[in-house]
Amino acid sequence: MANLPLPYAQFFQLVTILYAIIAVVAVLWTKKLSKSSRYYGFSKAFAIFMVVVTVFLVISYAAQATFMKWI
Amino acid sequence: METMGKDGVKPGHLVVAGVFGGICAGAALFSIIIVPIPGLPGGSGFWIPAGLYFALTLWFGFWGALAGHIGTFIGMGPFFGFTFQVWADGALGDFFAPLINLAIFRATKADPELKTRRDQAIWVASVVISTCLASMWIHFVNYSFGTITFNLWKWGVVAYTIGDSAAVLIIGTLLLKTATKYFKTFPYYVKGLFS
Repeated sequence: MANLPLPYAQFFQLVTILYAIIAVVAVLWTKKLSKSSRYYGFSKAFAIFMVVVTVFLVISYAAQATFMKWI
Repeated sequence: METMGKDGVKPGHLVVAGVFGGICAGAALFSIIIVPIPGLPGGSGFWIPAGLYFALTLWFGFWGALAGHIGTFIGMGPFFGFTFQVWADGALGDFFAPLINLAIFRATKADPELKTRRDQAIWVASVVISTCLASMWIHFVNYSFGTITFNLWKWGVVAYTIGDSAAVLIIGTLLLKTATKYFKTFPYYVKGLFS
């Protein structure tokens, strides 16, 4: 189906792991900042955004893996 | 609609569009749960990125919609074998839909934090209206190019409206209710269209 540099499922896993790492870094960055920091609001919002994206990537992977019988 | 805030457009707004466009691209590439309808390319499914760029547009105005457009243009584009017309058309529809939603929010002075029942009702109605209008336009272009038949146009509009609205109402609501109050403290939060 896809013209990707890796097989679709592997590329999907790689991107999901990358997004998960960004989400973890964003969460850790937020924890490190004090609430009075000018960056606190953005880092917290960005962490929430990345966690939500990652969770739905995982859900999407599970759904596609089931439909396409990868698992 | 207010188009310029007192601070004006800053280079940071472009950075916001680029960064979130990149994030949306990965999501657009993979996170769709497709419900295939024979003869209807890219027209149906649970389109997860829609939830992202609708929320981004309520936070960052035009720049959020641009992020969604960049993401879907890259994510849908060269990898899935659609013709240029189909994916460029789809990505343009994904640019208009959140902007229509934003226009309704600005016109009604609704708050993206969705704290009140009024704001929640406006959110639900505006998502369905904007998604339906975008899907009509997207499938009209596909019909005009002879990609789909008129019978499929009707089913395309219904399927697209249901699939995108469901994704936006689940993911977008989650994002707006949890992250909006924090993004409001960000200097590049947009109160009008561009700034």
